[in-house]
Amino acid sequence: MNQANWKREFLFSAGAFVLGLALALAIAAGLGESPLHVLNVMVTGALGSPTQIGYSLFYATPLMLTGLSVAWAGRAGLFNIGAEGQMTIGGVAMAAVGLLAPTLPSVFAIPLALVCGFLAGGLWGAFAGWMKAKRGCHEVLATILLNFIAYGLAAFLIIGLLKSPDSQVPETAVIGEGFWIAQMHWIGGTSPLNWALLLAFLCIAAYAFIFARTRLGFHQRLAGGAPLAGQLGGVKMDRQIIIAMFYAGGLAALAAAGPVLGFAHKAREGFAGGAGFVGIAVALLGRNRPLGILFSALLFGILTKGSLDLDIDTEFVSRDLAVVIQALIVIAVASQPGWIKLFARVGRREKGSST
Amino acid sequence: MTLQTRELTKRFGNFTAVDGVSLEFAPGQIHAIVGENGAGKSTFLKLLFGLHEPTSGAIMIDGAEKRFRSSLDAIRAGLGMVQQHFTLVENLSAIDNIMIGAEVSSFGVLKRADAIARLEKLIPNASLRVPWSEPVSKLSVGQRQRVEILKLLFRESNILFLDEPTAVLAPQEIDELFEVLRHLRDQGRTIVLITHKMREVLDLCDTYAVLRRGRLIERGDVKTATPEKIIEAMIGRALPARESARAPARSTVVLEAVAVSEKGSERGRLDGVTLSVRAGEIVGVAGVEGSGQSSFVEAVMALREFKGELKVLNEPVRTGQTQAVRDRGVGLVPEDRHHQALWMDESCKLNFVVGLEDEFFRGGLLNQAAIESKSAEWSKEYDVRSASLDVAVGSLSGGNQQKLIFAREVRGRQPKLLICHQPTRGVDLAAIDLIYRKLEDLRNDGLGILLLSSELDELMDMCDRIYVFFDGQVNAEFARGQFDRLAIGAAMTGQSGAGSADASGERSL
Repeated sequence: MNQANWKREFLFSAGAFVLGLALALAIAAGLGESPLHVLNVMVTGALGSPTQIGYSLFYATPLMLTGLSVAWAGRAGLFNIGAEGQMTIGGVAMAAVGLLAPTLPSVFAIPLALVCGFLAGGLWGAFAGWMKAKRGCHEVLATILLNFIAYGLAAFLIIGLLKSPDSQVPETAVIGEGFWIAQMHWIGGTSPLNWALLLAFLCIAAYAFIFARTRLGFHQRLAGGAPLAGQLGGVKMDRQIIIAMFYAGGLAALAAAGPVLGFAHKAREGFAGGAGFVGIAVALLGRNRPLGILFSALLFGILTKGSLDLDIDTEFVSRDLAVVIQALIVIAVASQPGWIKLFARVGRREKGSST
Repeated sequence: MTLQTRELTKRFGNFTAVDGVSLEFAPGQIHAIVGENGAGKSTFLKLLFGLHEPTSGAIMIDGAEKRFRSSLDAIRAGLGMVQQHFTLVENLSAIDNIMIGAEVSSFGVLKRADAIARLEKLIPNASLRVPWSEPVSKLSVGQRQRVEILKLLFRESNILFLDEPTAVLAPQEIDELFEVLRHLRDQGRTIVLITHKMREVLDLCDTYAVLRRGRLIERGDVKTATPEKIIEAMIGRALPARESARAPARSTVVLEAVAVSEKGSERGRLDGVTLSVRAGEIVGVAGVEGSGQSSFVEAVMALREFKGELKVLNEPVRTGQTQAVRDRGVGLVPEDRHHQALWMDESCKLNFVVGLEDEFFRGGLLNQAAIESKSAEWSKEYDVRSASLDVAVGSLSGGNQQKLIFAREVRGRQPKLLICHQPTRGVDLAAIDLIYRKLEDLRNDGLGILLLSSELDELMDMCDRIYVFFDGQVNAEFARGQFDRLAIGAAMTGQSGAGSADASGERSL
């Protein structure tokens, strides 16, 4: 990747974000709300105090991991719409381990829960990969539909086997204390921000290293960039597809660590809360690059937190404005091939007239 | 009609694609435009057909200056073009295809009979006739090309351009096409052939013009031209003759196929292929495209299910085990290099790694130093020219891409069997020359080479033996010394046993 390309990709993503935000603010203005006021409410709501910053980071943490999940699959030429389901399965697996061995000390407990969550989500993803590689079922279809199965399975486990006997809420019992990931009050004030943030950072670093340096990353990118050349070179491409979906599923599962191990200390029904889907937007805006994913996850975290106060502090718009902004950003990013063509044409015309 | 260009120039930014080209195409003659990839031929054509606007200069028809704003303007002015890749609707009949866009009808009802009558008047000579009401999918390649030509005649085009028209034809079909073109010339039409084959220029054309780097380098009468002179004008230097001392083949068999077949009945399926390649020989496979060549290569590379016996270096090929075939020492220069060999938007350097991961990864990590030094060394040896080895391989010319693939497959793999499928397609003459020299050296060093090509001249020049594929079978086999254009051509179109010779015994040097 040369520098000019890098710069261009950054500019396009930044442009898409600004465009999405501007359009959403224009909609707010159309509804009778001052765009500056909306912006102000959102920025102070997200970044106004350590606690608010802590919340923004807390929301951003799972998005980094689901973003990585979608990006990993994207590098291998696959579109993973199943991060939500993979995260759900991973979270339930973590809670299950925490309930089955409640007395384990943290040194063993947390790694064990993370490994089990990763494996559960990874296998869930790999199943979609297997269906694609061996049975020709498109991964978009397989991952979307597996989401629903994941919700069902999770509900069955949460309300059935792992149910807290003395609660009327659809949630599991509280996991052993050894499994709790400590909160980071020194940054996040009274927010539930916890050390899962470090886990997300480590995963981003690992992702960067794997795709820049390792044979695994090389083969994964080959599967996305030149599958036929790889196949004829002797690399089994169907195996690469299954591997890609395994890691994508595993990363999505780790996104459950923050909300399950770090915050609720139990698995609630629907705890993923759409983080898997926002991960698609994160990967798109971050263009599958490690730093891109980091920054776009932070942006979306800020957006989520900032929009909460819109319900109270504005008259005509609600927190759903954040969803509108996300959607507009996704549209702006997804329509980029068109933008690039348009810019190229304008550029040519300018060049042409100057000669 | 006479078509003329005067100082025709097209610039894209600082790059001049066509640079002051003045040419005249007189009626009643066949004109050749020759030049390498990137010489400006296609830009020149796009200017003539109104797809680009000239930066300066003029296009004139019968002395009157014309400005074409779109290809429709050009067609109305009497220009017509047969593309290299046909643009026919497979499931419509020949006559319907000819009429598309120029339908003869009254009250919305097509009048096919009227259209046919008009066509028959246009072409008194039978050589251009096709079965009018057959769907195009049932026509041969030569007949499809005639449909394309008839489309132009039906629109009253008097200046016909043909872009590499023989690339897809068997030798007999080429002769028939030449017949048709001579006939149209004699009717007083202007014919322009875009080609890179010397044989066509010398056998068919009246004048020739050579483009190189956008400039008109040479033009003249074919009668006074020699192939050497034209090639020198095309590439800017003379290509020294290759000496072809041939060491005898060795006895080791590196590839053996016995009755290799597939289920099904679609075109291109294998139907009992038996052949062998020994160390130290170049074995050719001739045949019209789609006669089973691609399927055979896929079967050898373990990507296709087959019945029968297929052995690479004495080990049977098991479908799905491409890696195992590769590890035995098989290099492959595939037919479609953009998809089957290259990772187009990745750097040249990393393209050397594809398929050679064992060499360039240590403990799962990329060995940067090794890739730097090897890629530089191999690129130098195979004369791969690029601004740097960090640029995307897709930005290289076809010739440089192909040389990179050869470097990887030969130097990286150290193969005992090298399979080359259409190795010179879309490759410039200088690169072709280098590839031929390397192949001959490798052959004399004991490499077994399977060369599949639709260029008969290439096969007859390079090979020790030639198998002819037809409809998924080996229809004939020829040994060097018995190569005969017409006999091979006959076998390509399915005339069985035509000139078939037993090549297993003697072989000429």
